Amino acid sequence: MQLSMDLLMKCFANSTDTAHLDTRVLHSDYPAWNRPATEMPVINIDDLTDKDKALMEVNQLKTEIKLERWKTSICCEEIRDYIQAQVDEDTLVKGIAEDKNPFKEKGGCIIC
Amino acid sequence: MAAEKAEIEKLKKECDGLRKQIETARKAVNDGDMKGASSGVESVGRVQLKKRKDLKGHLAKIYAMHWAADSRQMVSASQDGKLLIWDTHTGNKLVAVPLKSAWVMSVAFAPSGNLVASGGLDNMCTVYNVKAASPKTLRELDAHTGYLSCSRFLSDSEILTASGDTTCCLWDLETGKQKVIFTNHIGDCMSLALSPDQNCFISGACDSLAKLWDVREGACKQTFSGHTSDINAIAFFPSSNAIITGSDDTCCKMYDLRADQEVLHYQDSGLNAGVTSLALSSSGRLIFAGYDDFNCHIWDTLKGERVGVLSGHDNRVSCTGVPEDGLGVCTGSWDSFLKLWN
Repeated sequence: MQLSMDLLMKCFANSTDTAHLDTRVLHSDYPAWNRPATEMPVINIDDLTDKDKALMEVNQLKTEIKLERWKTSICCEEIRDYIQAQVDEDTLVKGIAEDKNPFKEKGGCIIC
Repeated sequence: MAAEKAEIEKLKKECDGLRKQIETARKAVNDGDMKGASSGVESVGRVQLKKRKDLKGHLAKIYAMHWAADSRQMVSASQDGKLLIWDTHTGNKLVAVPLKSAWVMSVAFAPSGNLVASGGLDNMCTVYNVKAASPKTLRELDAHTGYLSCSRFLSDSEILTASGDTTCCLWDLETGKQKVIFTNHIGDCMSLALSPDQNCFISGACDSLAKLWDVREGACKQTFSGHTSDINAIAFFPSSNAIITGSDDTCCKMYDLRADQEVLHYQDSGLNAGVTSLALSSSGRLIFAGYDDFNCHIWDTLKGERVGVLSGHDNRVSCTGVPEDGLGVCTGSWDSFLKLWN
């Protein structure tokens, strides 16, 4: 009996044909440390209209206006006191002994 | 269109009104500045530091440097397309990281010393593991739509970036995703600094404003104005209650966070160059500010006077840094050299 070409083709159809398979790579296929970053919605400044920018500024100012502010004299005195308490250990103000200087140029001869 | 324009006018009027109210509130607590509080403080005299080392190795302009937490290693970035990690005690180069993009503008060392990050005109922040046998790219953080101007690690798993797209961003390094996006500046963000307790950070931008942000909430808490040009450099005062900014307008300013205003500015009529970078000495008494005039000028934080200068570079000083132990100061320049002084 002679097999028809059609039947032959059916039996020996290309089994490597993968067009029908879902070829999307799954997120979990990647090792955890190298997963592609999913993009978060970014507010692109170029997309903001002038009105959006004005609104953003108004809302920000409304938040900032509520701040409780300290007297500058007290703040400055605190900064001054902080510095005074630390300044004796401040190498760049007080200087450093040559033998304790980690950056000094090494080399040179010692005459015994 | 006319209706929209009218709405914008109304909002702008509202902004003006709110700004006036904030200025009034600030004036109400302004009963003295830093000079007044320091009138009884002894002068530091002339601060004369010596250049201790020249670090030669880069072949093009140096744009950024950052000290490691051990106060010994330091990383520098140059447009020769390399990051170099130096042992500053010996002057030796420990690691060279070749960059995919040579247009680098920022570099950062993670507190652990395991990672460094860099980025620039490629709009990306690339994180490298520098403890591996040879430097390995760990992450490419790619979502900014503008250049990367600054980055700072909170830990090996989180990093903050500032971008020319006017936003700053907190990233999760384990997933490579953005965790929080900080939007409020209307000009390119040029620099950022993390508070010692890592709960907030400050950013300086081309809109001449400095902003204080809550790291977790993403909210802008305070805005500091006064500069008249791009703010290129910003740092926290060691007590965390004040910030110092440096700008293209040739001025540095100190703003107190609790008084919500400027308490001193550092300006000299003989200085006509923009400020590119700044760092404070360990007590906060001295400000080291790098300028376009090839020098790093030293300011007395309390009295607002110029007390010294680090001269020797043959081009703009682009970056300045003081290590955690405060034992020296490093300057990096477009002349391709780094210098260590103390």
